[in-house]
Amino acid sequence: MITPDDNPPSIDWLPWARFNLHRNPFGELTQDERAELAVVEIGYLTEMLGDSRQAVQFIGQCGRGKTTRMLKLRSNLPTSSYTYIPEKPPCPAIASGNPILIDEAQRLSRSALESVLRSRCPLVFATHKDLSRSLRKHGYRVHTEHIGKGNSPKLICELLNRRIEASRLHSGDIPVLSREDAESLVAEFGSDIRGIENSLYLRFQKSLEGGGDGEM
Amino acid sequence: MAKCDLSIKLDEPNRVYLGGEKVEGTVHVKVDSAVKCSGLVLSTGWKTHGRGNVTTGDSHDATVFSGQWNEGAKYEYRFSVPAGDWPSTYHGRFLSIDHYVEARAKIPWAFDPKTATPFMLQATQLPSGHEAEVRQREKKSLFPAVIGLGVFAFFLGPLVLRADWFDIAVFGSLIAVPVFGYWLIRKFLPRFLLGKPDAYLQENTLTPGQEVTGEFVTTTRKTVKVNAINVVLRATEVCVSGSGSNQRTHRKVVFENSQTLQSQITLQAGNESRCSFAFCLPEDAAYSVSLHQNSLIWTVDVEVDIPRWPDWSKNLPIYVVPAASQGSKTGNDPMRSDLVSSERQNERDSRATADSMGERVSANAAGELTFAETVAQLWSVREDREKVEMVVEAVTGISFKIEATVERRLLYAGDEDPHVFKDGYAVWARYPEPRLPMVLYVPHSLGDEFEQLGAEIWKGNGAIVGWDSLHGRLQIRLEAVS
Repeated sequence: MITPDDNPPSIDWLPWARFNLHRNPFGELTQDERAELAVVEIGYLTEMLGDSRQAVQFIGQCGRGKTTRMLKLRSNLPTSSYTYIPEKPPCPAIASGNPILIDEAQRLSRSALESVLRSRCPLVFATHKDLSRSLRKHGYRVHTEHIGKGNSPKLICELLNRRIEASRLHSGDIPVLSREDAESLVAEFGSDIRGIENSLYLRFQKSLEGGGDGEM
Repeated sequence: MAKCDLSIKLDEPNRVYLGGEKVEGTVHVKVDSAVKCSGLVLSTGWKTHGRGNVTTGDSHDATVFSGQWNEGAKYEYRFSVPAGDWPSTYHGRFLSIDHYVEARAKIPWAFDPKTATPFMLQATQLPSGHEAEVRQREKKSLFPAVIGLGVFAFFLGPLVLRADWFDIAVFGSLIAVPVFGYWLIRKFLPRFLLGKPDAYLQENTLTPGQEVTGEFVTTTRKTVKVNAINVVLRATEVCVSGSGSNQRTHRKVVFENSQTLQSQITLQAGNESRCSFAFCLPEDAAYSVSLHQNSLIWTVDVEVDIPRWPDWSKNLPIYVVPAASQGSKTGNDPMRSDLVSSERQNERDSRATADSMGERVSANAAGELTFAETVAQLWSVREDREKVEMVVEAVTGISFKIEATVERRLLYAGDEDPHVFKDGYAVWARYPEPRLPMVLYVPHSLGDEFEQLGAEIWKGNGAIVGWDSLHGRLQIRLEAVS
């Protein structure tokens, strides 16, 4: 699946250099990198969110891409505010924004949810629970997207190759994940992108330690 | 839009740079159309990568050019930037640390093009905050217990208050039985048989290649047969990824050397038994690091394998640190003296910070301490949470003339925030320069003024009430206009 570059770069001490990479491409990324590398179409969402009574909710299981969509929206909408609600209380401060992005919105305390719903700002929720009833009650039009269903082999292939490209060391060849590879990963992990990345991280490290030709 | 390609060529890409040395090279710029660059900035810094959340640190930066680039031209600029001094470059299984030289061209009204190239750094001495870092890690061991108590108080406290005695007994036993079971199996039973077992190290701060020496000692109450006494020297990468319910801790043992000190032995009742052990740390042992959610931890684990009985074990942390430069070594234990001097320096720094603020606070009675000075002091120590809290404590309750630009209003100030005025609200703001983040608690009477403020600088009076450690903001309660 992954083969090293035929012309090794001049940085000999870097373990990933023989793949023409400067790191394992499937490790954790910063929030800015996640937004930059996201393969999501948000044009229609930003248009929709121009209306102050519009709410969007992303519903899906962990690791399917809810937070990535939120981060992409945040990076494209400079007036937005993003708040992650932790599992355990207390509920953190929530800044006003246009729109207001709330990650793990199902964890909002009643008073915090009330404050958000009364804000008269467009809202984007990433949630495990359908909150459309509360939103409609406060006069919002609700657009719901179920995240994970669209994680096709084509999309998986594109986003994983973007991650590899973002880890490029020099110009020249870098490993490429084929459509067949993506299909077999989807067959194994379904729509769980995080599961796929974790598995590839380990396989990539293993191929480095094996010292072989990099075939995983 | 103009295309601007940047590339960096280091003079010695395969050299190991020592802490504090200069990294030299050339940055190449190629533009396809005329563009104004307000600054070509070269900086050095480090970044973790792997399975843990990314942690970064900046060292230094330098602007090597500003001005006009012409269409189709190629430019070269020499640079020489300090390499930084901590942490060392490290490539493990779950954790890697790399240092980079980054070039960024500041282009007005466009995304800044940038590029980076890695270089290898070998730390030669402890950073000034190392001791504090270690202490923080030791403190963290109490964190789960504190969280557990907090969760208990939050969720079960109200239930207990409303419940009858039977419910309390059921709840109590649900918690007490596992805790008691753990204590019985892991603590009481092994000690019941082994008497007062203990293990210790002669020295827990070592340099690569040094010998780790220690001893297991016990005096049993009765004669005990033991399968084996095992000691293991380990280096473990501990990385935390995600947050909240998605948070995962990944551990990977990257070095392991075990010794069986004794096997199939009988510890005689009333006799003190001693078993000493010694390991040699590898010459290329990686230094202990604790970089937020990415750590490399060295430990010595001592375990007594007792047949048909719970085993006794003890975990002893060790700190692998760089060897000090020859010139600064004094006494018999150079590393110890280094750590001590590092600790003393930290104490001196902390004392100086506190003293300085203390003097200024006293001086404020005469109206001498300004908000600008307080902000400057906080800005200079903003990376060190302990020092920030020390400064904030020294100025809490003091009223200042405040200047701030408002970022945004808070819809919700957080659960049980005691600083929010009744009918008032809170805003996130920044001091104009340096741009220290602040939370301003606005009374109802100032509401209209803040609504109409826009991007202007607000001026008024307010008292410092604390530090929001979650968002790294100075908390200020504004005074209502009378």
